[in-house]
Amino acid sequence: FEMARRYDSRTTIFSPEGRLYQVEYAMEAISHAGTCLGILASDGIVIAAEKKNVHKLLDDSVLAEKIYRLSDNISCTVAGITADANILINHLRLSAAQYKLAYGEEMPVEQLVQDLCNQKQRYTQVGGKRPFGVSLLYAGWDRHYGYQLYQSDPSGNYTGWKATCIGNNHSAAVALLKQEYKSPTLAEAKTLAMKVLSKTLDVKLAPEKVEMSILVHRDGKTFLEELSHSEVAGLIKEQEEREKEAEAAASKK
Amino acid sequence: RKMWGLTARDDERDTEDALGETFDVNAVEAPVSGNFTFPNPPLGLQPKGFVNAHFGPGSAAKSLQFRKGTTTLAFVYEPLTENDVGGIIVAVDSRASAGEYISSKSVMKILDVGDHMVATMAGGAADCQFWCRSVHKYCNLFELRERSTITVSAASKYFANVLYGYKGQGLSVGSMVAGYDKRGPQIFMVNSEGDRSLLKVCSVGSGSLNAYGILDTYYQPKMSDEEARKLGRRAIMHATYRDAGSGGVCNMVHITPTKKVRYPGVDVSKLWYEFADEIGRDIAYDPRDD
Repeated sequence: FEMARRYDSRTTIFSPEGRLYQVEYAMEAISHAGTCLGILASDGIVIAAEKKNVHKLLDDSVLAEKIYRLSDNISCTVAGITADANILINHLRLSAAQYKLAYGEEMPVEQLVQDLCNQKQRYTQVGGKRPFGVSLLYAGWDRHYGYQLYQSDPSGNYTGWKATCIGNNHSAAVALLKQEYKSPTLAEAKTLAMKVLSKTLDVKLAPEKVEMSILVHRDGKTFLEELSHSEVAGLIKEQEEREKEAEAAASKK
Repeated sequence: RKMWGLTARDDERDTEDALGETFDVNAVEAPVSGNFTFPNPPLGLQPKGFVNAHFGPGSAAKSLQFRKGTTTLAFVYEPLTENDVGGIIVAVDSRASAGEYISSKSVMKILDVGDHMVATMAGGAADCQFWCRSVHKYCNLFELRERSTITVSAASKYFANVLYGYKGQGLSVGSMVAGYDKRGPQIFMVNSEGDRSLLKVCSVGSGSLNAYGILDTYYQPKMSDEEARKLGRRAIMHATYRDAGSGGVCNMVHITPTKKVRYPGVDVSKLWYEFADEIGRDIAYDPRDD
């Protein structure tokens, strides 16, 4: 990376190897952030995130840290620089609200993702400003494609997923999801989410460290329901028991 | 020869002649291409002046004046017994008129502004619909950012501030924002003059005087749900009977602490027949010739 020093101070130029270093450095920033994962189930979407800012004195009734609602039918979770994330979330909420005012119906999920990604891409080509150090997972429902899960990164690129993970230890998480993802129901997806989280967390799994929500479409309305403290604790307990059994089975051999 | 819309001083009296003159040339006689250029509004057009000149009194299209030809009313009441719920009754007529012409008999004049609030429509239908939707968008954004429901006071204040920004530019909006929040049931009357008042009993529109007559006579702070609904309908019925700008069906919404209930529209002539039956009077008044 020594060569990189000469080419990394401006986002709007390529390096000789054809890379945009500022974008890559942004992704590096994100890989230190709290893990977020999303899993598409047949009857909903599970979103789970690790809360890094856990402090006894923190008043967490005011702001959500990780999972945000963008409109009636779309939610997102963020990994990266929180201040950058707040700007993007404001922009997303405004986009979705303006679409609803103009067309009288909910903004389709992919359109909202594209809208923001086009904005993010501008910061890699125009103006000399640094890109946003945020990756987002979007979970939503619309009548065109049903339940959808998208991921976007600082380059402005986005992709659709059945299950994915961003943030700390995301490659290990994606590898595990690749093995274990088998068209789950919502309940199975919750279990899978907890399994993946326990692998990616550097600290011990606890209900205070985890923010988990499910997005479901029922009776013509989309709901984002945050899992209660007790439900998360229950899932953690089940996970720990599964780990104990796995250890016991392994040591018996 | 003055082309329509090309001068900024559109409030001159002889605009009408010029209008007729160019109108004939451009529309009645077959337009000759090359001779006709589409009239464009000039830069620096004054909206209120333009509206007044072409649609105001003394113009050719004065039937498009916004006279708030409507009756809308809302009142807050407390429950009389435990079987009653209390809350707010909002009742409106459904007539849209352009001067003497009734352009619609079935306008929905109660618009949603958020999940717990409604706003009524009086004045320019387009103005009310557009700005109510804009306020609805603002309430949605507010609830996403603040993670709590917006109060009626805040929503109506936002609405009033927006309208004040366009004061003098020809908007015509007379709206009542009604809803339930942590401070209880509230009705704010907001209009395009920039006025905003908290009221317990309120009526807006050309038929409001008639509606106030009934409301002021029969309103009690504590009523049963049935009485409250009847009062709302009765007031609308009387207003539509005597006001040419009101008619159609009576649409009603009952806002309770927990939900908004929309009632299906009742034709006002049906309401009048019910009233006539109650007072035992024949609807046709036939004076005896002594």
